[in-house]
Amino acid sequence: MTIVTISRGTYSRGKEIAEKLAAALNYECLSREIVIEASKEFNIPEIKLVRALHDAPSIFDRFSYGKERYIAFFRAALLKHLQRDNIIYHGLAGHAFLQDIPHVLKLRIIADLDHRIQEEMKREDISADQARQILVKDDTERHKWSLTLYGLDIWNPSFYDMTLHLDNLNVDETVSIILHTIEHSCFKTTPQSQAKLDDISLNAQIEAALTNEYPKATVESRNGTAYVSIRGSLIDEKNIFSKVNRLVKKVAGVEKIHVNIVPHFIED
Amino acid sequence: MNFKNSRPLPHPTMTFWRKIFPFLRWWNFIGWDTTRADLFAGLTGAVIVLPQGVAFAMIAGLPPEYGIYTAIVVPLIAAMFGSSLHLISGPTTAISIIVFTSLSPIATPGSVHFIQLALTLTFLAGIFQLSFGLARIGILVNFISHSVLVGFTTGAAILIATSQLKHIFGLDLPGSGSFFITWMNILSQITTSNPYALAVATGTLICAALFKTFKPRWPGLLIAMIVGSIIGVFIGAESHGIRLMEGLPAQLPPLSLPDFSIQTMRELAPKAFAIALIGLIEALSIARSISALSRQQIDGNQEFIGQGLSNIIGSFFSSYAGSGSFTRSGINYHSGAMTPLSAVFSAIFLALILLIMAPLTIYLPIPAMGGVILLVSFSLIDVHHIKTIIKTSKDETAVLVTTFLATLFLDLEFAIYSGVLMSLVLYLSRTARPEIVDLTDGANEAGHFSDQTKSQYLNFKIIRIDGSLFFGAVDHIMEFLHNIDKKHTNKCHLLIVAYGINFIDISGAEMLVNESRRRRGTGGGLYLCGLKDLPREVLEKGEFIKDIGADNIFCSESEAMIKILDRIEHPL
Repeated sequence: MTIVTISRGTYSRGKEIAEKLAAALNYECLSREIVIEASKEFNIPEIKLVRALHDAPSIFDRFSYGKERYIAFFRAALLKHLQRDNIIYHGLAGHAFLQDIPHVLKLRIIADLDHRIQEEMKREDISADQARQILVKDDTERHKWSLTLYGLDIWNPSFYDMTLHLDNLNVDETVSIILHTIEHSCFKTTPQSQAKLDDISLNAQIEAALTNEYPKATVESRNGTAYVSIRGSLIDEKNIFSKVNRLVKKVAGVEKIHVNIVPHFIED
Repeated sequence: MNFKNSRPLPHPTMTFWRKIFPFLRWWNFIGWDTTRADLFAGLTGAVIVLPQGVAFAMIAGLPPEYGIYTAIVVPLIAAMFGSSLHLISGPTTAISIIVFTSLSPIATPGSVHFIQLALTLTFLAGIFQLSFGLARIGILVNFISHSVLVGFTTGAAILIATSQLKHIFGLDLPGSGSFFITWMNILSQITTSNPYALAVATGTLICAALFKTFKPRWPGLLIAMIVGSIIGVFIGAESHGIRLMEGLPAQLPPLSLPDFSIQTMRELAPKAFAIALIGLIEALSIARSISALSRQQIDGNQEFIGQGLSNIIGSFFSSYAGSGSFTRSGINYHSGAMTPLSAVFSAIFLALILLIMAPLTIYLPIPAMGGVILLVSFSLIDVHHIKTIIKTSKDETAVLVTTFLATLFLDLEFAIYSGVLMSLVLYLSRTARPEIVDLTDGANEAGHFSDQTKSQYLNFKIIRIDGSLFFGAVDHIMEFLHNIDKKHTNKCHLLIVAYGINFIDISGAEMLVNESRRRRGTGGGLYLCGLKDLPREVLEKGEFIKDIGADNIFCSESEAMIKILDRIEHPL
């Protein structure tokens, strides 16, 4: 009873590993399905969602919060799905949302660039230089995405429980190592870790409900009580309170709401 | 981890640049939501400052466009380099009056010489203010208590409202008079008020109030002013004696050069110093009043630097001395401004208005402005805090009322001085009377060993002093100690539980030595227990501990009790 997230670069064979792992454990294997699910649930174009999860935010995004909105929808869909447990997720951004959940095994799969270039050349029928350019650009976008939005460096190994380099290891050996690792008790779902996942899932549902009106809203919830922080002027307090209450009321599982207005943020 | 807030720790280089360029401290808070709010607030502020700038420049004895130039350059620099997120600087009544009274004996108001002197005065005031900020004496701001601010804000709100009544009633009153004289003039001329002006002002006021109540996020004040203008056009404002805005030259602030001759600098330095001080007090008081609403912490030194830079740079762009404006800061905050970008937008809009719409400003009726300012001034009155202060403390209420009345009847800066002075006097009188708890006299919360002591040892007294033993408190403590002897002649042994004493000065230490000698003379003794490090250090360094007796000082009450009772039972 666990969840495995696999973070990978393009053509690092992460998808193959995820699928074999899911088959071995008889778990659900998810990636693009979440994007489709979020797209349907929140009625947003799939391509916009994919771009929001992949491309680093532009200066315009910073002001319009377009990316934040899409990410909020995706995060809500992903966490809602993960609450079911027994899932292998290989895809965009999952590891960033699950950092605090202890029973989630967070993996990073890396492969040699040369090997990835070969794969890309074969698949796309392009030159080595073109393939290299595409892969480097892709990696840089993902790195910037995480760094810009959450201040997290996806190339930092401390971000993961385990990083596996597919050089000497082949796919089956890698799967075997992961299977052995998830046997450890620290990766088993406990009532406490499940409760934590339920809480962050509720946070995500509330943030998704608020994101059109308040894209920078942050939520901390505990056992159905939600503490919502909203950027806004204190003179608008009443209006914000009633609007937040109206929007959050629709979210299942919310028993009580506390709204905190954040009128400013000053850095040292 | 809340992933949205999981930003990396600031890099030391970033921290360095944030100190040099304080706008980088709030830069990351900017988004579309804050920009939208700031745009609305900036637009509203620009329209509000337009007639004010003209009026204040005229009060200062300068051509009207200088008021507008000051309203463009000064707030922009002050907002970017100051501390407050909502303070709007620019031309103000108080500074304008001081500029006029300082320079009119030296030069003819409105002349080229007068203008150059005003720019030099501004430059020098800015230098003083910047020096205060760099010398980090912004700590002065901490002496302006919340009650002083609430009193000052309330008083200033009523002053601002009073100043607008002549526009609202369409009265032709003499220039700037005191609060009392203004009211006397209004009441004596109320029968000659212009009903059309009153209609325009009332219409604008009602419109602004409705927007404030039902659509608080809309730029209600701006819409109200447009409505006021439409009412003015509809009823034929000018033909009914309603004053309209004057036309302005369509020109951005031109470059200018203050007079740097030694003689002029020497002559203007004392006047510039007064302007610097008043400007800072005004700006800081307003910044703190707004911060009481916005919950922002104000860095006084940074605000001094911002004000100083704004005046220095302003003097090179045809701007005269500015400071924080109560009205415009209030409007800015109540229009929903979230960052100092509102001041930047306000400056840009004002520049655009000046360039493009200068001819249209003649359609804005002055009573419409009065109506809007009236609403804003009453929004500045913090009824909730006034009630809390009145319910909580008589001393604080006295400070509030004093500051309030002083604001109405004295100059603004003296109102603050009087409030601060009263706060300090009350504080000193409180600290000069530290609480002395009698632990052997009846039931009290700290008397856990008192019953036994009282019954068994009639010549032993225990007290606890909560407060500092300094020169101001010596008399009060001495009186208490002598009163012990008057009431109970047998209580010659006295233990002072000193956990509550944070500080002892030389006078306090000498008082303890004298009391110790006096008690030894009557066959008793003075004992101390639970002394904190700082008071103990003073007693040791000054060798007072020798006179009191090192063996009369104990770590805890229990150790003191055991040893003192043993000495009483078995005297040497």
